[in-house]
Order: sequence, then C-alpha cells, then structure tokens
Amino acid sequence: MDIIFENVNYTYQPNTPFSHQALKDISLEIKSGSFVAVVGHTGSGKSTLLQHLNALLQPTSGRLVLGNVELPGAHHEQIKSIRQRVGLLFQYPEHQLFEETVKKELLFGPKNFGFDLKQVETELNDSLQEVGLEESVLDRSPFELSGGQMKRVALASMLLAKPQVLVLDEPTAGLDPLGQKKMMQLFKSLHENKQHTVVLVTHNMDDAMRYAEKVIVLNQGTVECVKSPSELIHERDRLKAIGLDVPEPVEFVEYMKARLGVLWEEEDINEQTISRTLVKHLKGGATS
Amino acid sequence: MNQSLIIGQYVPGESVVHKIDPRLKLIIIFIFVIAVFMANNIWSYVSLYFFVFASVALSRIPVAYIFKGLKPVWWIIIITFMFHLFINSGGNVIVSFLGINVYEQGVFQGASIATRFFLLIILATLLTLSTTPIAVTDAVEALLKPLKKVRFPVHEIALMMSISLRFIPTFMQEMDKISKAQAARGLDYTKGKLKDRFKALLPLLIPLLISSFKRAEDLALAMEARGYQGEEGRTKLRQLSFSKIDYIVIISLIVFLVSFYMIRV
Ligand SMILES: Nc1ncnc2c1ncn2[C@@H]1O[C@H](COP(=O)(O)OP(=O)(O)OP(=O)(O)O)[C@@H](O)[C@H]1O
Ligand SMILES: [Mg+2]
Repeated sequence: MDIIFENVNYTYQPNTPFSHQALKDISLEIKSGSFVAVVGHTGSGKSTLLQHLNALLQPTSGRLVLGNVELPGAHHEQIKSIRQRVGLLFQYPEHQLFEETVKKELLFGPKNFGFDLKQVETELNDSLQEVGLEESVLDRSPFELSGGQMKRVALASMLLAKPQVLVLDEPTAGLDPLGQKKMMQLFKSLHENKQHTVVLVTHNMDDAMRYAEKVIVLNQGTVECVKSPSELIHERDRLKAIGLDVPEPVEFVEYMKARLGVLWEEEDINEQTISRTLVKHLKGGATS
Repeated sequence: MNQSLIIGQYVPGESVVHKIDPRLKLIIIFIFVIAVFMANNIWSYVSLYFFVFASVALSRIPVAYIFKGLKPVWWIIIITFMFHLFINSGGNVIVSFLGINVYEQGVFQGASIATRFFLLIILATLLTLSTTPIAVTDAVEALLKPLKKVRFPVHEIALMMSISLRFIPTFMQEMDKISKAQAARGLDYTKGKLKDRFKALLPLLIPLLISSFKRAEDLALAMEARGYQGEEGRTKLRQLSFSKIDYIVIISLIVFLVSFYMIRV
C-alpha cells in the first residue's frame, strides 16, 4: 500500500497552554515496497510521524492516505484493518508486555486481529528463529527477559500479525553491535524477500545510508529533505547544521580531501570507491 | 488521554496568583470552604462567584482551559442538581410535567448545592494549576507542623504527597504510551460486551503497574544513594516567607469576608 502525506499538521494538546505543534505541513510519499529511513534530531517529530502511519494519531489538519483508507475520517473497521496491515514496533517494548508467558504474548496481536490461532501456533518456532530467540523462551515470563530479548519478542509478536508495512522506531537501540547488525539484516531480508515496505527511524546514519532507498530528514517538525543515500552524502554541511551526524565513510572522505589532499572524483562513497581513490592517490604520489 | 483531566497539572506563570505564598493559598481555600457553606442568599452566592472568577482572571490561566478540565466533574454537578430538583418539595410549584412537580425550594437547593460544588472544584483546580506540587507539600508540611507534638508523621506524609503529585503527569504519559502500544497490536476496548471490555483493560493495567513498581524502586534507590534518611537533620532549600503581595491579599481577603458576612441574611 502506498502512503501519502498531504500538508499534514499535528498538534499535541491543542487549545491548552501546553499545545505543541509537532508536525508542520508535512507532504511526502512512501511507495509500496520501498525501504525508507526517517532521521532527525531528537524531538524533530519522528515518533509522531510514525504514529500517524497506523492511525494512532490522526492529522489535526491535512490529509493522510494509507492504501485505500483516508485520514481523518476513517471508520472503526478501517482503522482496525490499518493496524493489522501496518505493524508498529515501539521504542520501548516493556510498555506492551503483560502476559504470563512469551507464547501468550506472541499470540496476543494475531488473536486481536482474528487470526486462526492453531495456524499461528505452528508458525511460532520459525518466527522465534527469525528474530534470533531460542524456543525455550516460549514458556518463560516475558518479564524475566533482558531488554534485547524483550525487543525481539515484541518484534516477533508484530511479525506474526502479518503486516505489509513494518514501521520501526529505533529498533536496534539497546542491542549489542552484532545483534544490531543481525536485526538490520532481518529487516533487509523481509524487505527483499517478502516485498514488505519498511519505515525505519534511526539515529544511526550509517544504517540509514546502508539500508534505505530514501532518507527522510526531519527538522523541528518539517521535512528538511527527502533524498537517496547517494545524494545525501553531498549534504554534509546541511546535516551538520540541523544537528545530525554524517556517516563515518563520508567523514573519512572529507578528512582525506582536507588533510591528505586526496582528489575525490567518485559519485558514491563506499569501500570500493574509497580504496580505488586511495590507490590512485598513493600511486600518483609514488610517480611524482 | 491526559487532555480531559487537568487537576494536578501545574501551568507555569508569573501572575499574582502564582506568587501568593502557598500556605496562604491553602488557608484561603480552607476559609472559602467555610464561606461556601455559610452562603444563604442570592447575593452571597454572587459574591462567591465574583471571588472565584476574580481569582481565575488574576491567574491569567485561560478560563476555557479550566472548564475543559472540569469535564469529568460536570456530570456529578448536573446529577446533584437534578436530584435536588426532584426530591425537594418546599415552596410553590414552578413547573410540572409528566406528573412530576418542580418546587421553588428544589430549584434553589439544587442550584446552591451545585454552585458550592462547582466553585470549590474551580478554586481547588486553580490552586493546583498555579502552584507547583512541591510548594503545595511544603505548605502542607508547614501548616501541619503543630501536629508533630503528638507524633503525627508530618514530614513523611508531606513527602508521600509530593511524590504522588509529582508522578501524576508521568503516570498519564505512561498510560498514553501503553495504550498506544496495545492499540497498535489490535487491542480494542471501545467495543464488545462489558466483560470483554474489562478484560481488555488488563493489557493496559499490568504494564502500568509493573512500570510503577520499577519506578518506585528506582526512586527509593536513588534517594538512599543520595543519603536520604528521613526528617532528621534536614534543612529546607526553599524557605517560605510572606511578601508584599501576600499582605495585600490578606487585606483584600478580610475586606471580602466582612462584606460577605454583611450581605448574608
Ligand atoms: N504527548 C505529548 N504531548 C505534548 N508534546 C509532545 C507529546 N509527545 C511528543 N511531544 C513533543 O513533540 C515533539 C516531537 O516529539 P517526537 O516524540 O515525535 O520526537 P522524536 O523525533 O521521536 O524524538 P526522539 O528522537 O527523542 O525519539 C517534541 O518536541 C515533544 O516534546
Ligand atoms: Mg522518538
């Protein structure tokens, strides 16, 4: 399903002294089957934007199209179907665990969406394996798990509801480096093999650049720009200005240019172009 | 979620009402409670309304905001009014429909009880909106001090109060997050049979309870780590003292009370 924001505004607690406009005139499009990353300084509205994607929040003004449903104005059944088709993984998984066992926890979403639980139970083991958990956790209490394990349980529980769109709010925060990499690989394979749309919020620019096809940059509630990773590497100063990090390779290239006097002629920045340029530079240095 | 209940949510400001000493504010509320029950004719009620709305105006907190926060209370006020309207049978009949008579006394009784309730709630809301929870508890502790003589745990009670007040907004935010997380998993507590709806509250209440316990534990640990050991040898960071505004407020209060007393019959 395609997702289209048209001049969407969102205000928290309108008409009170605490009112705060978190999204300002957002217009953008997320194509079905694409992998987009949302980046921005803390408080720039990333989580607010994400919560619109499965109708937890509805635009204060403007229009949001989620496949065949339009917000505001959708009725109850439509919203429920959106919640099933768009899986949202929250920043803090401990906010949603409540059952006695991990197994019940995993079945909670599918049960709410009216799935055939017998069928879902046969899929439990595969899905545990997918997210990197042992089968033995099934009978344990979710509260005994570590933070990383809780996150994986929450993810598995979301995947079991068979969403078409995966919306992930900093899914790798708090995981160990290897775990982070594996989880990103999982999203990548879900995207490539099952044609899921993936919308990923991350503070890690390297991840955003490596995995996403498009990067949405938010700044204080507005869309600063929407660019592909290869375009974004040329926006180093602009990113710095709004408080964002630049990926390490980009920093490295800047360093080579400024301190080593390397002549940079490549379009993309990756291991190959960097090593090619370095080799060229060193050879050039040897001959002269 | 946290949009309909505003009592306990401090609205920062620089108004006169914000600056009044919290002890004086508590005393005013106490006096006002007595005054409300002493009012006995239309003009004394009018003067109470004047008192309350003058305070609201001085606080510069939007009236609409305060009213919105009263939403959960409106029903109680309306039901109280209706109750008196139908059961009190003093004075002349004003209207009568469907065989039910509405009497003069009923209207007056209903209106005055509803008014008392309404005014008290507004003033209490105003107190919490214009005073930080910390200031309220400091004031409670200061005013209850004499009870220490009879070994009443004033300090502990005040501490418990300030912690609970401090965590109301946090609690609300947490509730908001949890209900969103569960709604995203398809939880629906707006439909179905009553029993199902109660069941649907579990996924909200359990995470909320667990996070509250965790928070309490963290807080206790943090307090201990910083050497908290109860009241003994503890000095105050914020000393309460009366300022010019407070004396002006006291004089106006006395003027008001005297005229209020004279207006009554
Ligand atoms: N419930 C709320 N009530 C009022 N304001 C809110 C609420 N939730 C968020 N905000 C405000 O909206 C703005 C955007 O918040 P949001 O959570 O979308 O930021 P974010 O980009 O996800 O930040 P982070 O990277 O820290 O997660 C912030 O300024 C925040 O203070
Ligand atoms: Mg966020």
